[in-house]
Amino acid sequence: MNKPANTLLNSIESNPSNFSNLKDWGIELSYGGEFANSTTSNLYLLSISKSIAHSNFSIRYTPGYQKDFLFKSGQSVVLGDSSTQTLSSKFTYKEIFGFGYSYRLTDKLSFGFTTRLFNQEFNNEVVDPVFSDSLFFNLTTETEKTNFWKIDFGINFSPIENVSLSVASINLIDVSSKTDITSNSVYEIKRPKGALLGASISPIKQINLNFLYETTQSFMAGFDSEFDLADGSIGVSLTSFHDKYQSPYIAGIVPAISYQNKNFGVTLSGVKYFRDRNTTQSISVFETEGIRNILNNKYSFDKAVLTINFRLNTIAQEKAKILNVNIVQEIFPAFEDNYLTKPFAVAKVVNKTDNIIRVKPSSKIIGFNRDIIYSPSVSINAHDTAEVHFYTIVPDTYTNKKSKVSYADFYISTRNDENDDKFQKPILINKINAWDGKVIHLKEFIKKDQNFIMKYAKEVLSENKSKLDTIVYSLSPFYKAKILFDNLVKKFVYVADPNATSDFVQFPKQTIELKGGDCDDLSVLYSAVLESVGIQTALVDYKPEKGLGHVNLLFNTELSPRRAKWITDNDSKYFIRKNSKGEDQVWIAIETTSLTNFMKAWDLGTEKFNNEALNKLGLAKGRVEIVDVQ
Amino acid sequence: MKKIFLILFIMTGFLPAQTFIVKKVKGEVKAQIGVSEKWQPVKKNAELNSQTTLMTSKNSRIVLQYGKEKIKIKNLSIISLKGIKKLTTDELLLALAMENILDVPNKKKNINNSPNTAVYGKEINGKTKAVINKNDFGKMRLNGAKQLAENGYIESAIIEAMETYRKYPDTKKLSDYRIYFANLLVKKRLYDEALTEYNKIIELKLDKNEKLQVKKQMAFLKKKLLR
Repeated sequence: MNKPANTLLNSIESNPSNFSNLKDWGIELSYGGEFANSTTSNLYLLSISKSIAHSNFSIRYTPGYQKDFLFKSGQSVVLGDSSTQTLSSKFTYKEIFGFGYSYRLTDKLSFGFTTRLFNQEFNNEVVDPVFSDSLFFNLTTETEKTNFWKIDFGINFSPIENVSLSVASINLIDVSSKTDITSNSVYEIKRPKGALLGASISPIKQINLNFLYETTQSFMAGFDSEFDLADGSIGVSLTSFHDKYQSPYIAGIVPAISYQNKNFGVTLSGVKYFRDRNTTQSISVFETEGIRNILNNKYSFDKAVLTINFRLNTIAQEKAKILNVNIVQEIFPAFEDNYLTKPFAVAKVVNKTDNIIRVKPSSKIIGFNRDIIYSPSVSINAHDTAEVHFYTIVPDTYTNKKSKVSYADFYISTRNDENDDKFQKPILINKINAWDGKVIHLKEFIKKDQNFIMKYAKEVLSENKSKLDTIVYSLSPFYKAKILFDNLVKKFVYVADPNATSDFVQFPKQTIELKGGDCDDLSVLYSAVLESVGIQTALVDYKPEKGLGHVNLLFNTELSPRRAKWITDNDSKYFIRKNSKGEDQVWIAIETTSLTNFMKAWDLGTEKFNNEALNKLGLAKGRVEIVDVQ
Repeated sequence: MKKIFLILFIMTGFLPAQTFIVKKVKGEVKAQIGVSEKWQPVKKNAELNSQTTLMTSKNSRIVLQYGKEKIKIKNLSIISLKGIKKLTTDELLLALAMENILDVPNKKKNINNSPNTAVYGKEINGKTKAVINKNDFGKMRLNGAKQLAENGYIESAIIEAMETYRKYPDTKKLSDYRIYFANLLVKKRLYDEALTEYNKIIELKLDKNEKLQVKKQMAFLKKKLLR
């Protein structure tokens, strides 16, 4: 709802705070007439409004806001042809121009002001004696004019969806200009200061009850209702009003009917007074009572006004809104594939329309993504809220060695050309070697430097070609693994991770270049080397009850259980894993930190695996986990 | 005071390391310690730890002192001393579940583990340097598992048998052993697991007597499971 009481009156007379729901441009034109003795019609009002962000500006020209009074003074002049002319006075009151501004602080609260320029003109016929050879009387018109500005302020507040409240001043600031009035000041529009209180309540859908009270003891009460019709709506309203200075108690009603759609509206409204209008009044009474309103006073006649309004919306309507964004994963640049399959952020998005919409999410992490990254679209039911996932791509060239806090911009769009909403949130981008301690993510490090590692492994195997040529083909994975391990450890030293948080993992190439690393680095390297020659590996995550965990490696010898004896006489040194084809294969555990030789590393790996994973039921109890690399 | 110490021991889990003392040895008995590849002879009064695997030959046997218990191991058996420990039924179930946990996850996508195009060596018809026929080794493992059961370590016996089936797949065809260990599952009231095992056993070549026995057990288990 969120509209001021009695909107169908559609004027700043009842909307001093310039409240507006307009999205962009609005043009309004009113044409009407009064049903006096002779019906006169003319252009009442022309207004233009514009909304920019949370602000609304309106400007209006009101040629029809005018009231003329003609008074006979009672004095007559006998003219030269013996005819007589009664002297008269003509008072004209006009509202010429209005300007309004309002600002929407929140969806529930807005405030604003209006200023209006009035003009009053008093023409009095007088007879001026002219003294010459003989005495003449010259009939002339004395004119006095004055302009004044009225400025009022107001606030509109909608505490809940179906209630709207407003409070505004009446005649708060009154500034006169071009004043040359001396004798007619008593006829000026009376402008007592006061306040206007309004309430609009929608007890059931499609019906609003409106009430406006002026502290000068006038009020309006009525309802308006709206029904859908084709691609627009039909609205009807009826408002009755009480004016302290008019009788009867309910002085009249204001009926209106309108048709509105997205782009334009037509409203036919009128005013019907319940008592015959004062067409004559003594000037002494007028002098005492005067008028307080140009359009509605005891001398006003029934009216009919046709209003046409256009809404030119160059701003697309916001169909979806981001309520909040939750960063569910920090960015670890090494985990390239992770952000393609698991979202790094999840937004709550609300559909503001009556229809199902398809929201296309996109994001850009500043200083990280080169381009905007688009994520899969999500359908959201009318007025429903849904979770929207944001994925990202780690640039190939990202090599930052320091962690930094950046900002991620999140966009949602229901169209191709423009975003419906935008949200920004800080996000931590870790250094290139950062690791979150989850062994499953070591796989991402293993995949790096593939070409380098493949070349390295092939060179080592080529050097040992003659040895491998003498070996049974079925044993080649086992012996390749042995040769590659022994070659690596020749140059290496084990370096305990100086970082207690284990948040740094070397890429395989770095470990070779640095000739050392801790258990994570060495397991990553050995796995990468074996995988590069087609040997299947798995990381073993020994989860600690306290402190640091441990990682070592398993690899698939591809031997069947019947051939396990080819590599060992001790059946506790291997175990059987069924592959994806259902075939049993012999796997062995390697302690990669044992930088002596392969056989020793196998023994140590076996002891650790048998003790922690098997005998203590670590695998079944979740204390040990096998993370397959492929 | 002694009572307090005892309670503390139990609560903190500081149990003394399992030590087995060789009380009697008859014939050739060998031991493989930990990850060693070597089998070495076992002598009377030797102290063995739980990482030891014992192997008895055709006409040999061994008696071990384990705390106050005496463990008798008959001929033609291989037994890992780590199996000589009391397990709960829950621990047995966890150990049985580990079989599946160990398996490589079945990913639908094609696993990128194509072997290296370089070929080294040649197939040599499976000739090995095995010290013992692998089928016998497996059968001796099952004998060892039976000894565990006979000495009251039924849970460990079942685990040993299941591991032996995997490591020595030919033993899966030994219907009499399969029936023996399946019956142990029934004895432990693991009816689901037992029925799964009998469903595999019924596929084997069984003699008339075995077939009858298996069918009877299967009917019994189905009845139990339907309740």
